[in-house]
Amino acid sequence: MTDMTNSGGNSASADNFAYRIFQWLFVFFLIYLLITAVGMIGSGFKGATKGHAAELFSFATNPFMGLIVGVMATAMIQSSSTVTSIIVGMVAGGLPVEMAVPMIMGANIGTTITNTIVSLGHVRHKKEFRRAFAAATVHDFFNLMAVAIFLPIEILFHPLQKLATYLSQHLVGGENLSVKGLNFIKPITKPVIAEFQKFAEMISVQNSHILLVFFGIAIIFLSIVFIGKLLKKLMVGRAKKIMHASIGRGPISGITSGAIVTILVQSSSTTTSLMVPLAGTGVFKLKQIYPFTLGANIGTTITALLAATAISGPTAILALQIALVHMIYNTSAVAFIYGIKTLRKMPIRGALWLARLAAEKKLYALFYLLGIFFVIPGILIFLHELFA
Amino acid sequence: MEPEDFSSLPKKKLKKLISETQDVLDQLKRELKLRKENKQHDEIDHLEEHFEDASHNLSNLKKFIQNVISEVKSK
Repeated sequence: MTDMTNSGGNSASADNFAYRIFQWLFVFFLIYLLITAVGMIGSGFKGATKGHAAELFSFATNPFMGLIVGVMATAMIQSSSTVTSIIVGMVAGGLPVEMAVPMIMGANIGTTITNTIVSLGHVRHKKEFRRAFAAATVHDFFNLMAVAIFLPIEILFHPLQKLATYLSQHLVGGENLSVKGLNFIKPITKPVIAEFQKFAEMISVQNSHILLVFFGIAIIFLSIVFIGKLLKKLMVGRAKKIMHASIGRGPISGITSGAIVTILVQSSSTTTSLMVPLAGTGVFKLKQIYPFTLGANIGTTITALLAATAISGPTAILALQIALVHMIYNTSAVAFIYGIKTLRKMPIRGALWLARLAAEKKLYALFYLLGIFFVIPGILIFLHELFA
Repeated sequence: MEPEDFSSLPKKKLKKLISETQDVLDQLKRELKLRKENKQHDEIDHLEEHFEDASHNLSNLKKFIQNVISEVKSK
């Protein structure tokens, strides 16, 4: 009887093991799809714009327009990883890096909508809602502050782009190479891209490049969604261990664990949203949630770097540049704002103030959500189009 | 609680009392910190549920809008 039980248990654990292996293989397949899709966007965008990508995006020569595009696109699809991967593909297809930088910054703001929506779920209990809303909006305030500080400096002196250029020159071997050591990417992605290109031509020869871009966007979106879902299941145990280890260890540990958990689940929205119910219960204080949220900003930059490995040839260096801009920007923003005590406290004060208002009148929370992510950006686009 | 009169206590005894009180205070602070951290560990043990809670965006939005409407109607 005991033997039978054991054999039953062994068989169940073997099944479980096989299932996990299958899930991991699927994750790798999805990463492959993601990289291939970035290549598709690069190739399609290049073909569609015929070297005139800058003209197509002429409205984004104004960096504030680029920023708004980044905010709105990310808020609508609720995934900064998708938007940054698309931007990497577009840079490879000819979009100038200086136009893409504000878009990347905008994606950082746009992604904060997800945890704000999660916090709205706590609306039935006033205190819980106040704590949850503050935990969500501290991320918004931080990202808005980061843009307010770094965007004007970048427009004037381009420090992020210059540093990214310097680093990318050291990482990319030469004109015809992809990221050093990752030159095997092109041979494995090229046949799939070619098949999609043929399929797009079958639908419409004239619009085949645009179709290829759309296929790329759809595949990136779907693969990131499924990678996130699978990694949440596969990595929950490891995420728990990391979070357990960071308790009572101070802000640097919080930032590090936030970054690692985000890399594990490949989604900053997941990490920051996870913090909302933890704060809502009151067990975690806003001061503890805040560094973890900042870590998510750093961890999410890995996706754009991964996407940049998809690009080979002369534009590989540009794709890597924009991915590095994302990483340098988010890391510097954390170091600068969190490093200076006065600046560090500002997002907390802003979030607490807004949360108190929203807890008293829920309508304020709705105005904030619609205003920051849609209405104000929409009005600014309208005014730009009106006067440009 | 009435404040006690320590004026008659010798200096040595007073110092000893301060040291003992400080020790008790430290122990109490440690205990409080430990309890808070244990609660945090307990919450992290339910991470799967929090992941689940954080993925119901549409229902959260619906719940919130219903609440806003009822708040506006009530005023």
